[in-house]
Amino acid sequence: MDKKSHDVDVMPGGLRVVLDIMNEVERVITEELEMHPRFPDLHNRLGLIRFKQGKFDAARVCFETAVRINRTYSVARFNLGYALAELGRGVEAESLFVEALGEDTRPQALGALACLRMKEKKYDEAAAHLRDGAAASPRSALFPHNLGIAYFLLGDRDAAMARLAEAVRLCPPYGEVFAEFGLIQDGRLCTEAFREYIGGHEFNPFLHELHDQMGHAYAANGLFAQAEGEYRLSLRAMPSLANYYGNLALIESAQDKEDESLAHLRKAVEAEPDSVKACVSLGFEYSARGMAQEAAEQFEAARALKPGYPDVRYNLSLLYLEMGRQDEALEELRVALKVNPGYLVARNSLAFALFKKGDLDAALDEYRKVVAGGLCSSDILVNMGIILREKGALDKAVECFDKAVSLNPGYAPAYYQLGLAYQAKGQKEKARRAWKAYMDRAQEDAEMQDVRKNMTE
Amino acid sequence: MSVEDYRINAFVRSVLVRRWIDTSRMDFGTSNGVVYLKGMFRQTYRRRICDELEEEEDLVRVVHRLEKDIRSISGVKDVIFRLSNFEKKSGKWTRRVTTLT
Repeated sequence: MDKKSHDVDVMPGGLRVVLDIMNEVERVITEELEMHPRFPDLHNRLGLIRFKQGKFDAARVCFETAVRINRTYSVARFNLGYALAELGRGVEAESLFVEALGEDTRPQALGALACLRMKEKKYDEAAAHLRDGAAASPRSALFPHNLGIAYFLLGDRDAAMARLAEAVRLCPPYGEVFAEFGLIQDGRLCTEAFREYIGGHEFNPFLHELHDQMGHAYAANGLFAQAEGEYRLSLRAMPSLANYYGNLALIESAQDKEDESLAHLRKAVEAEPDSVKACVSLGFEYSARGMAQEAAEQFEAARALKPGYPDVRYNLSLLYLEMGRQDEALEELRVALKVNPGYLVARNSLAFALFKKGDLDAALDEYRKVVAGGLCSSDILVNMGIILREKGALDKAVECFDKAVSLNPGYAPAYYQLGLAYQAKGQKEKARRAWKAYMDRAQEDAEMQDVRKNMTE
Repeated sequence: MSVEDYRINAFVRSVLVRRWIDTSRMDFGTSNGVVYLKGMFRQTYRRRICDELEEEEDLVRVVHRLEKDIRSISGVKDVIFRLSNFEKKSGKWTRRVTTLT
């Protein structure tokens, strides 16, 4: 069993606990499974833990459950195949992998079949599958990397070297990993070092997810070097540069190294421009820096890749609103709400955008849906009150402002608007009292000067 | 817009991510400088403590700090929490008690 433990400081000068990181990841998954027993990805993740622990039959049960819940869950199907292979049930594994050949998972299926042939020591056949995989997925470093292993095991060191060099070209951090293991010395492949490297290599690429989770668990406990180690293992299993640089950005950000974090996110997008996660992360980073145009470009790229992601649409709408592209913002919000009608924060932004545009009836309609959905604030109530006042429904407007005040007694704009509503109703004394309350809470600005003028009239 | 909502929203996301809060279980958004968080508060990974009770208190402290961090973002006028598992009563955060029916 692969067990990793580390001492962790608990309190300054106080207790220490021993953190078993695999156990920590299992705790998180088990907690989630209690809440969502029908989520197939949770069963898949638990299966990966069992797989890593060498409990292949328990892993098989988890993967089978995931597949039973979702027949088309390709990752779980591959994992099931890898578990069956470990259990000596190669025929069943092969049948699963062959089935995947005809789908859009052909490269992964070829990689999995190569793994089966490696286990059978049929390195020639493994290399043939890997060459097909490299042709089907020429940007993936996984195939040249594994081909390097296959050629080495066939005794062809020159071919192995060439393939490893190709893997480094496609995935530069592999170079650091190879250097760490001392694989290449004086321009030649070091046999002993490479044998050791192969001995520790995980041929199931989907184990990368477990290493990511373990890295996150380390990082959350402040163990950043160990986290980086896990992220590197994730990269070895599945050389996704976007995932790797994204993970490094996470740990840089956790250490307040914002520039380094930005640099990693840029590398992630540069390496894999079709990674939605990388585009969104970089988009948020640009947004936080006030770089609206650059942020919008990233969210637009993410939208092109995944048009159905409401979060991407929502954040793009906020950018468009800032850039004065109101109609485009409204369109993004409407699409987001079409995908997820219960996305109340987006509906609230839609109501506010309509309110700002002067489409008061539509804004009021949306605000009412937001409040009925359980989201409310003094700001929402004030805007609803302003609309009602504009429509001449003064009593209802006062009701909204009163609610806004009781919800947040420190919210100055509510008092200001309440005063205006009372003024419109001809209740001057009540208007003065509301404005007095406003002046006690608000900061000096043009609005306050208006209030002063109103109070003296 | 009176404030840069998009920018505030990015800061909110950063606060959540840094604290390993599961953003797939929580919607967050910003409108007119008011930040809204709705859903389940769940920290995937957190600092481990050997005492379960202390760990529970630590989680409450995380919610408290989260609110403080978001309120301190420049341009934020108000923060509205609608959490399914935590609530603020008399200025104190507590875990919401759910009764089995």
